[in-house]
Amino acid sequence: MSWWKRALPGDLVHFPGSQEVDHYLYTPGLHGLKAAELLKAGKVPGMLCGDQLILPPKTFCPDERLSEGEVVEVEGPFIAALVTVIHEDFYGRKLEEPQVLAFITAQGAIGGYIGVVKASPGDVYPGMRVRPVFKPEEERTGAITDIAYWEPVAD
Amino acid sequence: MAKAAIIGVGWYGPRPTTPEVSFREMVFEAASRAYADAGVDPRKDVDAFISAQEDFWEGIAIADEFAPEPVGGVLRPTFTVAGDGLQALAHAVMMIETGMFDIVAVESHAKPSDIATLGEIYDLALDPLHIRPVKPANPLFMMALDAQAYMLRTGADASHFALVSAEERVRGLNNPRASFAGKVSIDEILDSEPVMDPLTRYDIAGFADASVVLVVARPDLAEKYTSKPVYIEGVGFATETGTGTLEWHTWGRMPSMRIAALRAYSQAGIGDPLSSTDFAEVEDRASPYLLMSLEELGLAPEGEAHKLYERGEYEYDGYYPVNPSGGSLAMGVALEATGLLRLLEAVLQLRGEAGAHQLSDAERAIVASWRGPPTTTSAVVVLSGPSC
Repeated sequence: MSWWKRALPGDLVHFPGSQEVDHYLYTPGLHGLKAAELLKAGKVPGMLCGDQLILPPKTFCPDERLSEGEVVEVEGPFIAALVTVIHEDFYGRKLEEPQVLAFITAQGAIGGYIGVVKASPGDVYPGMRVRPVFKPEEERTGAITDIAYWEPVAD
Repeated sequence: MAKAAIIGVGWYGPRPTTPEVSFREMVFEAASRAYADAGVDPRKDVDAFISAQEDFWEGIAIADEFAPEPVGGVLRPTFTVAGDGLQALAHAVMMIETGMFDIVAVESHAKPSDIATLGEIYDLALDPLHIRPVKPANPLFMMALDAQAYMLRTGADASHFALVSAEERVRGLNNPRASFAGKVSIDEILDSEPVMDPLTRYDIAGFADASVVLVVARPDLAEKYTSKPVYIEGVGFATETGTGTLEWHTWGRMPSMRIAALRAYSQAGIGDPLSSTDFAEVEDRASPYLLMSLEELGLAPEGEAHKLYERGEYEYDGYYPVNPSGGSLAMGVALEATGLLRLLEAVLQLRGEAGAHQLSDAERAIVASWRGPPTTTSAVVVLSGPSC
């Protein structure tokens, strides 16, 4: 224990290692596949749990009955309910360009998407209207990244 | 009627780095001190051992198998709770309540200074289908969105967060375990570079290496081992829509903390926590969460925490002291051991052993923890000291 701890920098040794954590095949599940089809078609997926619209779709509804929802297209309008401008990464390194990141929901919906808004940091505010900008059809893969970014909509 | 008693505590750290020891040695150090404090032999007197940890933090898969030896749990019931240390304590209480265990050891540790890619591990905690591919530039973005939601709901502004950050860091100057303490003014914070609007780097706690071990006993046995038992009167924990559905999060609120608190208060027979307890130790890895937690814990009316904080109600000598230790902002975030650091500070206060930041009136306390972004699990404990 305490009496033989070493403190001189030259005595301290580290053994570098790595965890193979960056290779994994994530299964989207049945609802995820339906959502992927919508994204590939340039549509924003949502989920109907009864009459309640939920974003994004999961396999289960956030209700008391543990029921399954129905994946549907959400036409909007979309609102960036919360917006932050990120200036530094996790390690405190300043970003070359600040990133505008928002919680984007649809009118009357529960939940939303976390998305990058392409706008000047000075022009964004919570509650602003936004719309998705999809990648060209031939580049879409059925992933959330088929939405290239979100952009402000003039009121 | 107490549910269990803490008869011993031991710790190592918290410090920004601990290059002199491995994580298992840190656990061994804290465990040795806890068993000495309780006057127990872990190989004879402790019936079960619980470790709170997560694989990715350790750099080891199936890390629970690394738990038994440093705490003395080989060939004994030993298991891991993949959550905050306070959740592990809740499990110890439940085990003791079964009547099958007299003494249970609880440990949690963290060595973030060993994690060369801590930010990437936080990235990996984000939903792999809907959030991680969007590449948020900072995986702690949840803090900023929650802060903004709190501002919109309550009328608070960035100066209230700066006030919390300044207070906590200054308060930590009296605590030898607060490595991130310092004298800083609200203006300095408001003038500093933003990390994620509306938060500056002062609003976000640093990371700390630490290990904390508790020896928990049947309440009727406590005085056999110590003259200063700290009794657990209530404990609760809850998870909201979790990390896998962060998009369903109730922004600017912590409903899991409210549920955990109500459960703990109910067990302790507490109606009004402000009049029934003397102080609280509350996890605050980002300044807005302290204000949110005060409301969820019933220590401030809805939407009013920032105003009461501004009036000094939660100061060291205020109406209801919160975090005389300086909280996580002054002591650092020790991953899954963060909640046990808050608990450790409360135990030392209740035993009258907090030193320079000892409160004059400390008989009953609330301890609250939250696992931090992007998780949404909270745990709350009600403690009473030997003189209560």
